[in-house]
Amino acid sequence: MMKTLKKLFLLQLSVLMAVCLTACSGGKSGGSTEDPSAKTVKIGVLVSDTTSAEALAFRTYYKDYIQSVYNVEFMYSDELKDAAAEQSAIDNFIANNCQAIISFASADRPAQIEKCEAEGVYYAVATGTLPADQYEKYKSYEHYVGAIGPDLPTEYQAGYDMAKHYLDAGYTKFGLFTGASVYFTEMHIYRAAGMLAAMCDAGGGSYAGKTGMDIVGQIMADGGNVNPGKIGNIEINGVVAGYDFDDAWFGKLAAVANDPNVEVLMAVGSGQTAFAGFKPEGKKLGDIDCYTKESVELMESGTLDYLAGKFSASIGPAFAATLSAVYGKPIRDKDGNALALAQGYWVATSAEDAKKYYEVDSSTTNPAYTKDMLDTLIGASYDDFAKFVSAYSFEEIKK
Amino acid sequence: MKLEKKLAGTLAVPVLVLAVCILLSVMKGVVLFDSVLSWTTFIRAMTNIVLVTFALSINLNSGRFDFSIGSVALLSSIISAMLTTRFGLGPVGMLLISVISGGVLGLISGVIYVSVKLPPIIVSLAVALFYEGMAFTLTDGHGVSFANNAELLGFGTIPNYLLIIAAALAFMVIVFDHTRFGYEYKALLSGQKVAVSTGIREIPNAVLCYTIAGLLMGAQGFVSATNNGAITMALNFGSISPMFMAFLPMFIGGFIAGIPMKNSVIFWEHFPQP
Repeated sequence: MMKTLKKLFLLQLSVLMAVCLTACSGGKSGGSTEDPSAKTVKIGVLVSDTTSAEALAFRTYYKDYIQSVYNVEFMYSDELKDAAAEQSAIDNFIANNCQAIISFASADRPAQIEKCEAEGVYYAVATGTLPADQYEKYKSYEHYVGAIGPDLPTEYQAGYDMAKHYLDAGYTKFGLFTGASVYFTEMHIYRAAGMLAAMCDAGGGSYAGKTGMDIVGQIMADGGNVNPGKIGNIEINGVVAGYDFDDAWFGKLAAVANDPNVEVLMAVGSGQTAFAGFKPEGKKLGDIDCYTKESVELMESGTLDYLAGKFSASIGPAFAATLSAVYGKPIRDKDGNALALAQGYWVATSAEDAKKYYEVDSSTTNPAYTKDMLDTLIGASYDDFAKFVSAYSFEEIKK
Repeated sequence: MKLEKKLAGTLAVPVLVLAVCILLSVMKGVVLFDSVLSWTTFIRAMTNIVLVTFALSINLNSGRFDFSIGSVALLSSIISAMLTTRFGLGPVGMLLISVISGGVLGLISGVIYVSVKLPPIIVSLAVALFYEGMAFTLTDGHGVSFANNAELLGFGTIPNYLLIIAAALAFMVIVFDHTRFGYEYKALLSGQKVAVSTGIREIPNAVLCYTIAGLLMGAQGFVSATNNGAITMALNFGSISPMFMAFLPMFIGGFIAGIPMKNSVIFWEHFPQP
């Protein structure tokens, strides 16, 4: 009896092992024909900002649109304040079987890239690009997908164009909010430098002896500060920086906004928070930020009259490139290097423009970059991908 | 103690600080208060500090460290701003809604504290996270902006700020010096065991302390919001920082408050006599 039972048990065990082996081998041999999109892809998203309008718009695009049309699941980090927190968040993503990471956090990008490469997890930068030296170092990493977003020359140009808009209209007296320039945030320094460069070109002078891109170095040398003064016949009569959000900071903003020697207020970001509440009627306000319900209302009321904004779907191509890599179709140039593509802003100089942009930008059913558009990027050639990204203007996208 | 001694003791610290500020301004070649805007900024800062200091001191004097007061200000201002903009109310309506919301949130905070019986630091941190999360959820993370509303922004004037300071001061004096609650609060401060044995109920007193702190923080939230017409979100204890601005004023205030009784004598003895 015992012998029979033993035989039966061994037989069952053999059958079970055979089934397991068949299942395993079947999975492997079927890999080439299996639809990769059948399996949910988990993607970790590193964020250093969870409350700004721009960050919320990006999140809405991924969570409410992309996640509803693709078989992907986004896992967001907490608000990451430093490099250690970024590393910890990556560990958490890996522990949760994320196959890729898209980063909006930049405390220590090299460390993020190195860690993802070591762990075999795909990594992409969603808004912005790597500095040239970092790109040279990481462009051939197998798991580095690339970076797509406004590069620093684009940031410089955004500031330049905004200042030029007012200079061309004949304004000569400015008040500036330079945001995180004092924290050495390159994006804000380049935007501020662009504004000053436009003033140099229009006013026929220089800023501390510098013109053009050289102004970037001057701002860096001054600790991220922009100093009031004259550039030819153009006057900068007040500058506020930082994000202190205390009474003294608000007091300084109010003083610049109400200075009778200021005609135009320009902000490298958050101008609507910084200046809009203090600005008397008749003064102009320009900002580089994103499109929100509030910004449209401010443009309709005339409080804000120039807005260069990132559009939330601009992070779509970074997602498509990442998904393509996960599906085994990484997008590389002819030398096998990762993506490094620049995108620009949508510029609104009227309430109608802002409203039109916001309607598209806030849509969770028909956003600027839809699934049909992004599908063309999965497995695309580098050149086709680059062509798609470079056609970022509202008119080109909605053509 | 003679009146002049009391006055000298009470005014010594503020006058000394003012003198240092004037000296620094002269050295830097600037004028300390060069416009109405400078005065407005100063008086607004003073209003914020007075309200937060009153709110913080109520519980801190009783040994309850309340980290949630900033989140009460945040959430009450969010609630009031949303209702005000939706129903087209004015600044008085917004102030009332903010104060009432703050009181209710303070009451909830107090009830949670006396119910869970955990150390107040732990409870207040949890409440801060909860209220921050509620504010974030109510606004989908976008906060509230009314930078276009001239009526609400127009509230930020020196007379209005002074009115709020006077009202808060009168409220504190009446509640803590002329009510049964105030007497019981002081009795509990001087010795909880003895006070309780005389029939004073410490739990309702504690809940009321949280409620009063909430009322004051509701007013502070309103003052902050109507400054620039935008309420931005705070997460992960981002709302805690306003309470730290109240510590130094609270201790200096405590020192000055004691001067008429004891400290002024010490001060006066070291002051050059005519």
